[in-house]
Amino acid sequence: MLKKQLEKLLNLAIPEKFFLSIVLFLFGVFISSFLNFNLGLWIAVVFLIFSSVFTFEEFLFKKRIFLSIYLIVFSLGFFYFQFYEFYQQKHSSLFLNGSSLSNIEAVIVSLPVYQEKTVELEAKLLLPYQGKILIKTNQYFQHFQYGDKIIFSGKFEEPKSFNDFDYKSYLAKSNIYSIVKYPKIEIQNHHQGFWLKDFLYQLRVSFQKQVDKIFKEPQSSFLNGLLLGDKRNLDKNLEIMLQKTGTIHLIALSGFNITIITAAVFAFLLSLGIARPKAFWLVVIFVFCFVILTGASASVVRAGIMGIVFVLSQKIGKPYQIRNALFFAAFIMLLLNPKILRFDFGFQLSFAATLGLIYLLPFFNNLFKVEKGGFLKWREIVATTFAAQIFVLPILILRFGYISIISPITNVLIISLIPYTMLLGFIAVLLSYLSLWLGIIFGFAAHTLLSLEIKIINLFGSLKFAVINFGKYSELVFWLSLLIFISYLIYKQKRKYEFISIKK
Amino acid sequence: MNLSQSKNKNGLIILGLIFLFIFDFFLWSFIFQTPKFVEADFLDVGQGDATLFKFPMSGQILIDSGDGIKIKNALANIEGFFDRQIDVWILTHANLDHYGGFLRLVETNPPRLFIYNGFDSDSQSFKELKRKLEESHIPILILKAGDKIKIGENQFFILWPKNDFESKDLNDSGLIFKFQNFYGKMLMLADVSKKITNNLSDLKADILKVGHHGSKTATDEQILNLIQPKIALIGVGLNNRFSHPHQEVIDLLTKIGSQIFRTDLAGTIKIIFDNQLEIFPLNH
Repeated sequence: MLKKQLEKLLNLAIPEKFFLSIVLFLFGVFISSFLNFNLGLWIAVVFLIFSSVFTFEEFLFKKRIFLSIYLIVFSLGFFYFQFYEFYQQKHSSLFLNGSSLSNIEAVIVSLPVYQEKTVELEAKLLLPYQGKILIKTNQYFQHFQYGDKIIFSGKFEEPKSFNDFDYKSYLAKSNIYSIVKYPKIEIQNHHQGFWLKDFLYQLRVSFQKQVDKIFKEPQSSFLNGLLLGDKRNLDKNLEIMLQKTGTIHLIALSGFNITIITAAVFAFLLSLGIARPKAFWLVVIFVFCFVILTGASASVVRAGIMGIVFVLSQKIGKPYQIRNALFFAAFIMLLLNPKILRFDFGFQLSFAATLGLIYLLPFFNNLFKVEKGGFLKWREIVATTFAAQIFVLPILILRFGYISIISPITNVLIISLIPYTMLLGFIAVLLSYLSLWLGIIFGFAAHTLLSLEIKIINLFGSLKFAVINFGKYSELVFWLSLLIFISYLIYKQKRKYEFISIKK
Repeated sequence: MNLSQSKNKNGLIILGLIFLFIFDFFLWSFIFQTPKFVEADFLDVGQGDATLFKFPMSGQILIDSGDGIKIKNALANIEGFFDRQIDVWILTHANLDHYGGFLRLVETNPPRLFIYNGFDSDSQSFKELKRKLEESHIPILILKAGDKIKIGENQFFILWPKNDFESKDLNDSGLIFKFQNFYGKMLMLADVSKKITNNLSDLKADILKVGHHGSKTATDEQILNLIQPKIALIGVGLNNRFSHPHQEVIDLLTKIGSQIFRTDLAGTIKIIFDNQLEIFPLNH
């Protein structure tokens, strides 16, 4: 029986082999992320030796070696996580924790996060020190930018977790091991970062400022969320409402927004009379720049890579396999930073939602009879919402302890308006560069749509039965649903093989 | 092909006409909605003060702006989409819970004139505010007791600080205003403590912006007897760390028969200076 299964594994088509290798790599990274560093390193080394020997053996006996390649891929994933962590800690500011230092030089390496009365800056220490740190400052009135060279004095502290939130791992995910609270900061120099990033971030800041000039609150921060994934100034109350109605994905810049923007740019380029092949490359460049401009959050990077794979597959005339594109994107992202698999909430949500779309959308399309259409395309949206949400739910429960049960309704009411809102808002901003009042007059259309969407969200979010609260059972629910999901997969796989053997 | 194209074209024209019609409707309603009476909006900006005065067929004055977190939401709540020019900003004194909102607004909606009491704060954020005002060439005017702002029939009398007043406590340097027109009087006590306000004269008013967010350092029985307010406004955030407003002050106000409106409970409070002196709490 086992031998038969293995035989089947060996006879898989190339795309299937590719897929399985990546899955095993991800699995290696995942297992590894739970293990203590030193222990993990040892296990990894043993694994690597073991699998090399295995390969060698098979090679010697002239057998097909695909099985041990799977083993090696798994060990590579396992080892890569440990190696990455080891390397990052070695080059971090970890040993500075607990000491107070003065006149430290650093460069701001990401977009400053402006909150109510504080600003959070990710900064890279300059020699003689190294590593990234998080600076929390109350100089929120000051205009910090990416690429600013700063000089500060303060105490390096180890990040502490609070309210069940593992803040330490959250920061360690971005290779930040120290936090400096309320130091005195002086900006010495501007534009010390990477030129393209610097340019795109300036574009972003200028764009946000125009949005702020045209629109009022909370419409302005909602639109900034839709177009740039920026929820800096978003009203806390509205944010909770968005979570309760299951619509927070709209302003987190999901693949949905990227698809809209990419499609709009592509249509625009074609309408200019640019030839299709040329337009493809322009779109690829645009997507690349847009991913950087939006701050390269996990969901955007994922959507960006998948988009580029799609465009490439069109170009070389090979069929686009969305599942493989998704796992390929995950693989690339884990190569850049393997820690996101376990510690980046956005990555998990985005990955799970896409997985849900791939595996469950056909089922729900069937269930809701999508081909019939319907008002506001409600069938399609409900099917999509269910497919995307089902995989996301366990993660949401684990993180927030509650889930939204009215999310299909709110999504149907809002989603069909979103592309128009984005387009009208974007045009208003472009016009406002010509004349602010032109932008304001045109922006009224987007304002109306935004106000309508916010009204719907507030209305449904304030319903008592909008959410189901799991409280202390959240963890139990999470593991249970994981169990159900895995047994379903195994069941399905088994059925598939039985089906094949009957056919034979 | 041709048919569907012309259909598309027709659709576009109809869409354009609908858009124009809606636009026209809003433009005219905007023109007809221009109010006849002075309106004062005591804004809900959390822990802090902000009051917007709107004058019919004339400009708008914003007195203080809260700490900045909620100012944009609060303004958007009472203003239409096209209504965005505030002509004059007045800062009673250089405390963050009064000028933070100006910092928030200075880049997107700068005023034409900035008025304050001339007492600068050492804090970096205040310096930043002044730098930004100067950068945008906005004139800065210092007013003292005895000065007066006149807008048609409406007048703001400035009762404090006196010309020779010097103090290290920024709260005590605050500009005290008395707004007055044919329909009513409104006294705004900034954050000034009672040892100063008790020595002022001519305080009687219908509406009182209670001093220092309802702190007992700013209000006692003596001053309330001088003012005799029918309506008391208190700008506070819910569960603030100073436990403002103090119970003593609430008791005193109740005792003297004032109707109390708090921004933490009632949201923004809209006051119309007409025959009845109408008050609308715009509960959030």
